[in-house]
Formats: sequence, structure tokens, C-alpha cells
Amino acid sequence: MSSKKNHFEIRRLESLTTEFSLLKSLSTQPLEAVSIDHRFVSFEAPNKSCAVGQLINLEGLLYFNDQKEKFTATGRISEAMELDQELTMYTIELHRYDTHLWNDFRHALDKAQQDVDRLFNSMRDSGL
Amino acid sequence: MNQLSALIVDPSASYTHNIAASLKALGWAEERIYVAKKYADAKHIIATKQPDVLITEYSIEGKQGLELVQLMNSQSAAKISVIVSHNNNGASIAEAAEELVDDYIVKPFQGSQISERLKEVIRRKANPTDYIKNIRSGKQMLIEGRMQEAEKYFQSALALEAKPTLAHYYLGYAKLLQTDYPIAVNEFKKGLNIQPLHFKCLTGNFDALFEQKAYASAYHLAPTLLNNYPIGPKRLGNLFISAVFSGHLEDVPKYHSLFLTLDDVTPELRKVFSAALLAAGRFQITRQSVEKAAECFELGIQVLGADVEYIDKSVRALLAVGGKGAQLAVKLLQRFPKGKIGEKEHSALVFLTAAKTQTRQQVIDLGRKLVINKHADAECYQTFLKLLVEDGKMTLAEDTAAKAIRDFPQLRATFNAILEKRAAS
Repeated sequence: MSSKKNHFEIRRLESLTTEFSLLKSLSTQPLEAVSIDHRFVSFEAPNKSCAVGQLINLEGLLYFNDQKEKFTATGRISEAMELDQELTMYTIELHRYDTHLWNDFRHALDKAQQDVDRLFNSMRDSGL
Repeated sequence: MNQLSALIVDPSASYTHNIAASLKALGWAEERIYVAKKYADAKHIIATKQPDVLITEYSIEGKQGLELVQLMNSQSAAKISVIVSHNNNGASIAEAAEELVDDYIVKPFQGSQISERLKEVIRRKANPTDYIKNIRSGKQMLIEGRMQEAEKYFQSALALEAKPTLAHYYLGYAKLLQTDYPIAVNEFKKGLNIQPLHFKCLTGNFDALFEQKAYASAYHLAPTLLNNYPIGPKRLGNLFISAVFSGHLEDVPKYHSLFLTLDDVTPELRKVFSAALLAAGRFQITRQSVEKAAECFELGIQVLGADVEYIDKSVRALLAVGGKGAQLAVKLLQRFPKGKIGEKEHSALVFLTAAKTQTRQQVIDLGRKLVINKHADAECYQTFLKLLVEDGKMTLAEDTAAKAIRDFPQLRATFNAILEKRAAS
């Protein structure tokens, strides 16, 4: 069982129409995806970094199976949920992206959870 | 379900928001969901609000979420706890299972995963069988320190299940708490007769044997435990101690790779493991395996860090062998902390290694400096005096002996005896 952390690091986020970077500090402080789905990804960023409906270009690294893969996508900010005075959770609906790579990443997350469950359940008495 | 209260602990607002939204979707009232980004805030909420459910990151500000689980579980046996973390290290999962965490969810979350798992874990906990109800009631008695009543519940549970492994475990655990080790071991064995690899019975058996200092029997369980489960830091420390006291010193270095897999290494564990490696190194010296001894000492330094006392003991142990041991001692001495080079302890070791590896004149020069700088310890004085006497430098020897006696008056006879050897010869 791999003990390496599986995660998705967003390293570039820019407006698809203007090609301006929406978050300047990503090269030094990449963002980490909080939740993912078959064609959605959520992350937290400073308030007003993006606007709902905005079309974006996304570039990042997928860390899974003890390696990293470059991942690029176009998409649209589908949701923005202000968390506090500083941070908002944004959700991107992915449009064009390598679905095979994305699915491999998601399968790796599933596999990690299954491995954890197998080990955890072998040590833990259910229902207690 | 919406009568329950929950505490979510995570430094990330996104995760707390995500989990809170899942709970609300399951029908939880907003005012019954507490959120903490900081460890101290979480502790305060547990103490004052006594939430029913805890959903926490494994690591918060360098502290362990499992300590919050312990705090919750000390309030009631009916509490529910869930770890959410990127950490999927086996030893961490083992620790969570031992703390009776109810679920372990790996980040990042996928889709409605968090919601579904929370729903399932709460359903499972809310609908226990009669067997589990009895065990839970017994656990509650244990929390309240009512041992006899706890045992009655566990005894009742025995009749409610065809394979009551867990009831035997808790009967053993209750006896372990009362330091009635032989009966505890007996109950754990009964559990293992039903389920030979039952984690709790295996670890309970190990702990009971360890506590009664039956180190050989405890260590005998090590292969079964290690071949089937990851091991947490506390039990690993006890395993090192069992290995040393049961005479399995040659096994100790093998555990270094296990040690490296741990995420959370306490200073106590570093001390215990490095002490075990020191003992293992000394053991190898008695078997004339000097290189293996040096490997043990080197691993000890990797575990503990460049600790002056540890390096001192290791270097002196190798020097005592001479020959190859002295060469390996020189190498080990290079691990001395940079900031302490030139200080008394370092100078003394440099002199003692030189005495085994350099020419007599070089050693005498070093010895003079050592004494002038007041860096000589008793062993250095003895070594230096012997050399001076052998070389016929009696004036310097007598002067050095006077200083040695002044610094170590209790060794006057030893120093004088070295001087008298010359007179006798």
C-alpha cells in the first residue's frame, strides 16, 4: 500500500478569454484541490479571485501512484462559495481535458481509500 | 440524527465547509455543528459542548487529532469519531484503529463520498446489536472506573454472540487495567482461539505480557503482529525493549526500516530505539562483529541525531576493541555535532582515537594540549600517563599525574600505580 499523499496541485489558473493569470502566486504557492468529481474540481482561493461563469485555463500536477503527471484543462467556474472574509471555495466544471488521466487519478484515490478501509477494518471491530 | 451535535476540526475552511454542508444535507441543524480550525479551540469545544460526533484531521498545527478522539472517548462510549486526512500511512491508520476511531476517510474527497460515509458510520453506531450494546455499556463502566460492573456486561455479551472475540478482548482489557495480567492474557488467548489474528487480542496479549515483564513471551508475538499489521510508535518502543530484554539484540537493527515508516515519532521512541541500538552494538562487539556494531551505532545516530553522549559511548565502545574498531571509531567521530567540535567531550574523543591510530609523538602532543585546555577526562589521563611512562617522559608524567589527581582525587591510586610501573621496570 502506497503511503504517498495523492493530490492535485493547481499551478496555473488564467482567464481563457484574456489569458491573464487569475492567481499570481501559484508558481510558488500552488493550490490544492479539496474535492474532485468526474468532471469537477474544487479549491479554496482568496475572495474575488474568479467569477462564476468565467471560462478558465487550468494547469497543474496530479500526484498519484508515487508519481506526478502534468494535467491541463479548460473549464468554467461553476460555483463560488465564500468561506470567510478571506477565502472562497471555487468549483470548476472541466470542459476539455485528458479524461483518461483524470480517471486514472480518481481510480488511484478510490484505490487508496479501499486500501485504507481494508487495513482499518481488519483492525477495527465494526459497530463498536 | 439531527439531535446529535458534531465538531469538525480542520485547518482548511474548505474542508470544514464541505463536511458541514454534508452534515446539513443529512438533516443536521446548523446550530449543532461546531467548527474549529485550531487545536486549542477544538479542545475547548469538546470540554464545553461535549459533541456526539468528532470529525477531525489527523494532524492539526503539529498536534494529533487522535488526542482529541481520546478526549471525546473519555466522556462516553457512545461517541463517534472520524479521521479525514491525506495521511494514509499504515502506522497512522493502526493508531486510529486503536483509538477506536469509527472511520478513516482519505482526502481529497470525491463527489458525495463524505456524505455517504458519515451517514453510514452514524447509522452503524446508532443501531448496535445486543452484543455490541453490552460491550458498549461495559466500556462506559470502564470509563467511569466501575470495573466489576464492566466485567458483568462483557460476561453477558459472551452469551450473545457465537464468536465473542471482542467480549473476550474487553474482559482481558478490564483485567489489564486492574493489573491482573495472567487472567488478562488468558482472556486474550481465548479471543485468539476464536480469531487467531484478531488485532486487539494480539496487541492486548502483547501489552499484558510486556507489563508483567514477560519480555520473551511478548517478543514471541512480534512476528505475528508485524507480519499482519502496521505498528504504532508506542508499541514499537515496547517491542524494542522486549527485543533487548529477551536477548534478541541481533534483531534490533532490522526494525530501523519499520521505524522509518512512522509519521509521528516521539522523542521517547527515539531514545528507546537508539538505546536498543547501542545495546545491540555492544552485543555485536562481544561477538567480535565490529562492523555490525558500528552499523548499529550509526543507525542509533540516525535515529537520535548527533547526540554528544550517544556518540561518546559508541566511539569508546569501538575503541575498546582496538584495530578495526579504532578505524570505525574515527569514522563515527565525524558525526560529532559541528557546533560542539573543539569542546571538552570532542577533544577527549579525538585524543582517545588518536591514541589507537596515530604515532606516539602525535598522541603526546595532543595529550599536552588536552591537559593544558583542561579537556582531559579520567580515561584520557590514564591513557596519556601510560604513554608518557612508556616513552620515559617521567617529568611530564609526574606533572600530569599531579593534575590528574587534582581533577580526579578518587583515582589517586590508579594514577600512582601507572607511575610506579616505570619505577618497577
